[in-house]
Amino acid sequence: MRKILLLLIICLLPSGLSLASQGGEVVIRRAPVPAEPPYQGEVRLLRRDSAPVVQTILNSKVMNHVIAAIQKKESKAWPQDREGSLDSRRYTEELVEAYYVIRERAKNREKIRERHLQLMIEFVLEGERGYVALYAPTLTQEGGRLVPQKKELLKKLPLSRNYLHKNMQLIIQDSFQLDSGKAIQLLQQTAGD
Amino acid sequence: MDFRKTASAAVEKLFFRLVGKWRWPCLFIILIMTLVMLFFALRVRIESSNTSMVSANRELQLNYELFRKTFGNDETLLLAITRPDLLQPQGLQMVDTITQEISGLRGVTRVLSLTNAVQLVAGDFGSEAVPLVAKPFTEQDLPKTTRALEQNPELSQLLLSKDRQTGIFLVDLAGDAVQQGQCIAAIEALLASRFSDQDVHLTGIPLLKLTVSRFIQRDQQVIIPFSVVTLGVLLLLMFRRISGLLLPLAAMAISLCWTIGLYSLCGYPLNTITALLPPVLMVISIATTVHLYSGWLQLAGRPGDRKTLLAREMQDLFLPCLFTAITTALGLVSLLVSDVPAVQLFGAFSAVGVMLSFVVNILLVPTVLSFLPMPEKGRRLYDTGALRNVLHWTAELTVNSPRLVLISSLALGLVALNGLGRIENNTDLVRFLKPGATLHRDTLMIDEAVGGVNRVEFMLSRKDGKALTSLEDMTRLGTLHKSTDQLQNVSGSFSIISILRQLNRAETKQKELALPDNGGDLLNLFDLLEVAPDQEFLRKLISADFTKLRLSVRTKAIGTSDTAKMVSSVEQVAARQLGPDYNLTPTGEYYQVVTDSNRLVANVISSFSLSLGTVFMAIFVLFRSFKLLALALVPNLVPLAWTAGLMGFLGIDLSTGTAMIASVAIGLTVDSTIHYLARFQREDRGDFKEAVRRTTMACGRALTISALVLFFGFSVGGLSSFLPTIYFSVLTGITMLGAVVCDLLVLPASLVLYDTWQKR
Repeated sequence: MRKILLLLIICLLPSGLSLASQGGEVVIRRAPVPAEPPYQGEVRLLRRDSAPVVQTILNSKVMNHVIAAIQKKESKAWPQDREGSLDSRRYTEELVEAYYVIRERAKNREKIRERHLQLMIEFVLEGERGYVALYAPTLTQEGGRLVPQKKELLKKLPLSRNYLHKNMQLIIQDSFQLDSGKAIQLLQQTAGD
Repeated sequence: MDFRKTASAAVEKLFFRLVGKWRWPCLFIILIMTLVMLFFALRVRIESSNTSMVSANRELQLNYELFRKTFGNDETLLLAITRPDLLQPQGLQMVDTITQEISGLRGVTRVLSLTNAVQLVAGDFGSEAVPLVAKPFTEQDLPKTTRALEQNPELSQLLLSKDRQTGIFLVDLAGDAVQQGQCIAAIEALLASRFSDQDVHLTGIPLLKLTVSRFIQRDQQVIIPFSVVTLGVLLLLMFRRISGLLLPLAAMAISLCWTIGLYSLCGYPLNTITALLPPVLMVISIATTVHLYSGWLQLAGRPGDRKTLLAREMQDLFLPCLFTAITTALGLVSLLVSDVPAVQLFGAFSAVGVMLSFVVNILLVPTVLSFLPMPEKGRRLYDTGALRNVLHWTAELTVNSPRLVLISSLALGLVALNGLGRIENNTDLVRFLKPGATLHRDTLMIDEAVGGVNRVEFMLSRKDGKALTSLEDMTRLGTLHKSTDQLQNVSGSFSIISILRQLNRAETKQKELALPDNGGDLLNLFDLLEVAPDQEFLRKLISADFTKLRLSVRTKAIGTSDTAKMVSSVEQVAARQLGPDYNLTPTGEYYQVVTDSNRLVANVISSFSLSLGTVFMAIFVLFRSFKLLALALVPNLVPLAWTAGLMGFLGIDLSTGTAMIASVAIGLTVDSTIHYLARFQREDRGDFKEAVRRTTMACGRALTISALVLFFGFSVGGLSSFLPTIYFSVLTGITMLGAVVCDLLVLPASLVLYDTWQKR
């Protein structure tokens, strides 16, 4: 179980070529998470206008464990004495709230046998500002990939640039299997710096 | 009648040519044939799996194929280490070292032991898999380890003995039987070189197969030379002539070459059952030569042309020898009714071997004897020795006290029937090996320590094909587990439910191992199983779509009979507790063995009935007399009853080995009856008593010698590594002795009584 959780955490991160363009967004790199099946979602690095976005689309039957894995990773990366820990705590609290919302909605849905829950997390850097947005997406599967058809914003959480930049770097690093230097370079390229 | 005359003329012509102008060409052809067949015989392979022991039952095979396709290989090796400080740091370190070193061997896919097993515990963020025993191993962690073992009783049962001094390693092997054999050899070498100072034991079905394969090779190397020596000594003692030694041995070797060469040419490897072919064929072949050679010895002192006398004697013996070969072959052919390929092969090739042996004897013996001078009178041991006196005494006894002889033999038969009722149908693979065999000892030791080394597998599915994920499914399965664990000879059962209980405990932070109390939470657990990292392990317990699950029932080291009863009990319990909506199918490697062994033994009755019917039909065709047919029944059935009674009194089970005795023996016991009745017809000139005296004196010698040859020849099988082979050999040998006693006492007594009754 621990290994699954680690893999799930690793899944929250992507790399270099422009793969697709969708509504003002360019997908720079994408990777399923965790790295090995069964996949629980996909991490994508996007350029939205000039803003770099790290988007994590989760589609999982064990969403509570995925959320727990993210919490675990956050608490490890942002210990209490580190600058940004407050941002991390706010983010994880809102993440848990968002999970409760989608879980409640799933109880009322028509397809009772469909046990997957969907959640989308975006880390966005816009100039000197940035935020984390949590969405309830509607997803379709195309060629084994998750394609968001629409998304409903659940929460938009402005956070410090330092926290967002570092977390985006860590997600890129883990999801696309890159070292720290290459992850920073990719993030910079995406931002068009 | 014309046909008989024509056939008789043809046989006469054949023998005159064989002792005349065909001598050299005949010997040349035999030599070439033998060299060719020897080439193939030397290349006969040894079966390294027990494929040929698996019955051709389609339903069983399909179930097992589906099981293997769904859950993978169920052949696991069990390694045990015993040391008083097993749970102390040094003991655990040793377990860990062995685990790592065996895991590193080529062909080993997984090793599960105390030091790499994981338990599911409640973490800050849900369930987590953590080592059952934490590293590094320290004295301080001992209470923690003990607690972990107590909290995971099912895992502890698998990996630890009750006294906590024996640790078990479950070793999964990859590849076919040959690759598994190489891997086991590597494990044995590792244990011998690196851990020879440790008290380690190894068992499991793959090792059993390998051991059987090794023992077959060993038996071939020991039994065949010993048979040759034993039979040679016996022939020398009986005939006291070099030709009396060399000729039967040559006929035997040639027959064996031809049969094993043909067997190899057909692409079959020797297995536990067909490994009996060489010793069986050797003695049967020699028995035929003994009759022909004895016939030649009886020519001593007779006036006339040497070759003519020889041809005529061979002509007289041709028909009895042909019919004894046919009846022996028919007895063996009856084994074809078995649906176990190994037994079918044995039946078919031993029958072919018997007929080939007849051909070899008929061609070789007169041809070779034609080169020898006529035997001298007075040189034969049995002409004036103890055997003659014994034969004289038996002849007088049967003529003067036929009722006493018959009543005594029938009384013995009745006593034997009492023993017959005590025979149990039971095959015990481990106890097939001698008590001194390492695998026998190790298996019983591990069985004693962990309460069971055999596993019967069951496949559970819903009849509607739906996934087994509802609370009702799991609740019923839980009840079935509980009831199964209480059955006799069951030491435990394991299924996905054990994992679900652990997972539920860890997820809900409960103390007790239990299933969730609602279907939603249970489905959450199945969701977690779907994303669990060790999918390979989970696939061994439940199919990917959750529609089939595996229930492994561990049994003590019991025989197939008790296992079959246990399986039947599980099925009955399942029918009650699961209800009509589920299918529970017993399967697995061990269950195959159990079913096949029991089916093989169940085939005994049909096989024996068939052989009895065909053998006696052959007797009728030969003598064309219902009277002689009826008289031949008693002396042939009584020795079989004696042997069966002996088995019952000695507590020898009816197993894969002993089940063949009746079918093989009936074809052989009837041989001496045929020889006796054929001679009796020649000697009968109206006075039955006188004819009986002359017959007993004339052919009693050959019958006794061939019976002794068969007895000692079969008894050499007593050196085998397998108890069923030992029982088969010794009991068949004893039956041969019983048969000759009956043929020299019961048959003549019956003939005399019949004559008296007719005259009245």
